[in-house]
Amino acid sequence: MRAATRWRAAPVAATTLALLGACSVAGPGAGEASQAATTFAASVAHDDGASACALLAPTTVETLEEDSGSSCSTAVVELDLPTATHATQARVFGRQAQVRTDDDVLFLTRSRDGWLVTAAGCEPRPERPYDCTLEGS
Amino acid sequence: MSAARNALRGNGLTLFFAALFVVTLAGQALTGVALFNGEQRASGLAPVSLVSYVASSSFAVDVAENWQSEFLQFLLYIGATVWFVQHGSPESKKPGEEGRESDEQQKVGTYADESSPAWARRGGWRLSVYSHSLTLVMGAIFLASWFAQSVTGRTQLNEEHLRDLQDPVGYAEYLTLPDFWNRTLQNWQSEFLAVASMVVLSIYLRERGSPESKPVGAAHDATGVEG
Repeated sequence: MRAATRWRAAPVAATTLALLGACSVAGPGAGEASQAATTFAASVAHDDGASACALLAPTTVETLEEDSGSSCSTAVVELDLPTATHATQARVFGRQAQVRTDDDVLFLTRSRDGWLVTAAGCEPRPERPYDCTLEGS
Repeated sequence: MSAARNALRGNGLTLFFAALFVVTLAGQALTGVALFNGEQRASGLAPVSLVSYVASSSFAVDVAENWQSEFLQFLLYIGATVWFVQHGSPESKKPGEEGRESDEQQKVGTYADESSPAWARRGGWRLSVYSHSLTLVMGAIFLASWFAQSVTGRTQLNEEHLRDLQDPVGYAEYLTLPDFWNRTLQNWQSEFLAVASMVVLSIYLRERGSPESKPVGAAHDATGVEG
């Protein structure tokens, strides 16, 4: 188990660094929010559900597990979330953030331990909130 | 000891309201963080510390929107009482006295005496600036507070937008939105009502010993008479 985690950690870290390279950020904490978003995307892309779930907000984990009937780490990699290659914009207001990647829009909230993803796989809708594949209730 | 007591007594009005300001601001911060953290917990989010809350846009916008309206209230009252009178009000000049008044009445230029402030004795731009220094400073604080309200209000609205999975709005757009104007106007209307009430009620009602009231036995139609 530990060996598997180490095997996954290397590409996740490398992908994260690559994704951060092209970030356009705004506001205090935007860099950290971008990093959390891209690390989450990289974890999902590498089927590392445990790492991805560690970056999800508690209400999002609850909703995912209730809706899927399985554990977060299993369900999150089965959602077919967009595979981001880099973050293009991060906007932070207070304790909330929105990170745009080349293939997705993610929403995050600031916790004691850092930024956590509240929603991912989000598509814009005119005059309405984003429609997200993964979101808390 | 006596000098200190005299200093306290001589500045009692300022000290009384300064103390009330500090206590109520602290109360606003403590109740605000409790309210904010209740909403955080309800959303499954982590509570914040008092320091974090005081540095947040939520606290700042609540403070700024009240400050701007209070300073606007006094700014308009100072300016409006130059040109408008209210028959029977202790806060008003007598009818016929509207306007800037003469240099003699205002004790400026050649009519200034030794106790007059230095810029009141000097002519030119210094006298012009000093003649409006109260409204200039009150106006500057009003504009600064209103600007602070707009900046922090936008941040708070955008925080709500992001929590609700919506795009944030730009600053110029925020200035056209109901959120900005509702925060502004709900404070303005209450200030204007309070001023109008003070002007009218002080015609007929009294508070013995207060300079904001006419003497208890003064006639209702006595204007510009302070107790």
